[in-house]
Amino acid sequence: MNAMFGPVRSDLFLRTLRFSPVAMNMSLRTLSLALAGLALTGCAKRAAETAPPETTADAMAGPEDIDALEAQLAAREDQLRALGATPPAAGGGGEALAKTEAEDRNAQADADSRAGDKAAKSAERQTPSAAGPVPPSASPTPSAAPAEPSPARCESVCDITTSICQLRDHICDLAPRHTGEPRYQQACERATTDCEFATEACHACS
Amino acid sequence: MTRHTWIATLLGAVVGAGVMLAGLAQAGRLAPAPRPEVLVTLAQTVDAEHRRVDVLLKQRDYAGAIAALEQMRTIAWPEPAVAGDAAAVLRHDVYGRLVRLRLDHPDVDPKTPDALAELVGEGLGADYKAIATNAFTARLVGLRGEIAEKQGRDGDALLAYEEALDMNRALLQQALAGAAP
Repeated sequence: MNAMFGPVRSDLFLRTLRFSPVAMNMSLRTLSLALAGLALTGCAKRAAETAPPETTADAMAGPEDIDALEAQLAAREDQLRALGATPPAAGGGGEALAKTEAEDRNAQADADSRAGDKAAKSAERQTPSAAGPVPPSASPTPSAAPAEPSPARCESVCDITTSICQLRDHICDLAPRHTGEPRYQQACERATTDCEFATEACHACS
Repeated sequence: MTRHTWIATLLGAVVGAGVMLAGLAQAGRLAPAPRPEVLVTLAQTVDAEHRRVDVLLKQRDYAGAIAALEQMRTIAWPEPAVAGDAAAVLRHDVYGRLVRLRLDHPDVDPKTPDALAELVGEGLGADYKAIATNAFTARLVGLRGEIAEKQGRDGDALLAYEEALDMNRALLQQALAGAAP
């Protein structure tokens, strides 16, 4: 290939391209193949570069200093254990941190919203019913939840319940202004069913 | 059309296709895989700012809290190609808190409903529906409904509330199934 596109050969290539139609067709085939090769090489290179690392640690640490990082990690885990926290078994990385941040903010957001008047109104309007209808989309029932109730999970369920019931309030506030439009009333009924189901789930959990 | 013209056309098509493919492959280098260190830095920044806002709210300094979140809004939020979808979720969190404060304290640095709608749109971004369901996006979508109500657009408000309700229903199912929402 190098010989083919060396200075002498390329000069010959240009001359044949200019003066000989037959040779030009052959050269075009060669050029097409070269361009296709270039494109494939580019695509392959991109695929190799964009392939996601298996773990966050893989992305952040080279193979040379992995021992040092593992030692650091072990030391940090010991510190966490000493503080009474159980570090995750494996993986996690940035995603886990982001999730923790998100959960913290979720709790804060709900604390903020609970402080508002709407939350008080929602609490007043919540009418938990033991025989409340279950929304068709909600497959797991509160009593048949497969996971063991834990304080964190129950807090999540109850926070979501607060959000659902607040949305029910907003939706049902719209309905009286649109009595001639059934979709508002239907949305209110659906949201009320959701709120009752969620409230039941929250009570069953805690 | 002469033979030479055909050959020139064919040559142009081949060269054009080759350049396009090579360009697309080259463009891949400009959009690398998500960088977790950017996400971690962003999460720490957002966390620190939220703590500052907590303190300001405790002092009933609503103007200070809104100003702090407005300042946070102006940072260069990393693109999903750099920090992944989690960066967008963090942005939804900040914007959600800002909009909530603005709605609850309309007398502080007042904004029109149209300006608030613009703020929510900016926070959500164009492709928020592609992000995995989460509480922060759901809250911001619900706030979009509240603002639409203020604008007198009840139909849009209902749509936004129902969208937020759908998200929360999915989150509840995840929570009941034991998965972290």
